Amino acid sequence: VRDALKRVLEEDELQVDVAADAETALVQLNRQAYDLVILDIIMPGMDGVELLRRLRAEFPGLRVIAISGGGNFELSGYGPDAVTTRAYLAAAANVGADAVLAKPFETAELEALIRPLLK
Amino acid sequence: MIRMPLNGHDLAQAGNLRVLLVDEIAVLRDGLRVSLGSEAGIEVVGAARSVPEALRIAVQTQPQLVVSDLQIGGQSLAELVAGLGRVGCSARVLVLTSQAGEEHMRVAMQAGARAYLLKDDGYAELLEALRVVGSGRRFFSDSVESRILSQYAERVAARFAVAAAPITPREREVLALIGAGEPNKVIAKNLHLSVKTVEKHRSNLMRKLGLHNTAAVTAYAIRQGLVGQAQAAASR
Repeated sequence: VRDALKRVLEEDELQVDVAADAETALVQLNRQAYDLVILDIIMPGMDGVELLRRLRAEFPGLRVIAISGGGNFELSGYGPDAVTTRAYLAAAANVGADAVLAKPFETAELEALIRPLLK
Repeated sequence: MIRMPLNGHDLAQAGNLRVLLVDEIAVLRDGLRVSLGSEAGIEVVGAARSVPEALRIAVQTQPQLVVSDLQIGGQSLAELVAGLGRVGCSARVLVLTSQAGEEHMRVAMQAGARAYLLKDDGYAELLEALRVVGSGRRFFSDSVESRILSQYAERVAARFAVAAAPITPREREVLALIGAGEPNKVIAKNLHLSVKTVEKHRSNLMRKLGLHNTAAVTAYAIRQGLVGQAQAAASR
């Protein structure tokens, strides 16, 4: 999914790097300046909301889009209207995500969120 | 969704439904607090990650509804429900879990839960569950209801499959002799079997035919026209 998203966004002439987890993302963010982070809520190790808290504290100007398809941290599930999806995205918005998006989504929906944030 | 009959007074009539959330997962807790907190008629009075924390908050805030997972910090829902009773909190408990097994549902309902929903169920169902339970009824989400019904249907089908097993020729002979009123010892002698084997055939017959006593087996054999055959065979 990460790599597919990278290819799609690169076609929009964006420079995209990917990280498999929150810890790796923090290392990359400390090495290089980025304008925008797209993060999933369920990740191995640190979850997306915790990463978002760190980003808000350490990189205040960074724009963040949080995505989630729900599920939980033991089993995978997937529902745009699920209790978990709603809760995870609400938690992300509450911690300061600039935008949130429920999975599954169309590429155009994500692109529509990215464009105004990068202006 | 199943909505069971009223068995308590309508809490919503007294104003906002006061809800306590109990779950180990911080993101879910925090997110539900925000989401439910923005809903009309619902007030989230607290969110706890463990049973002791939930009980502390319950004493302070007197919630009317508690939304909890089945396992919280190594403790069970039953321990939470018992604890709520101990501290004088009469909140109605709704289960919100990822555990979809029938045994989990049975344990939850035995512990006193009024609703059972899965975390992947729709958010709208959670809202409905809160209002339904708040009004004094029980609630099972669509997915839970369909799991309960399919598990029940499987059990019934398995029972019928056993009952519908065909009667063997030997069991038919035993059935005819039972119908003729012969005791096991005589049946065993006539068919050159041990009494134990005849007892086994008799019990299999009763199970397959769904009959519960010898009188019913005799009546069945007569209805099937087996008794005359047995007597004719015996007279040959």
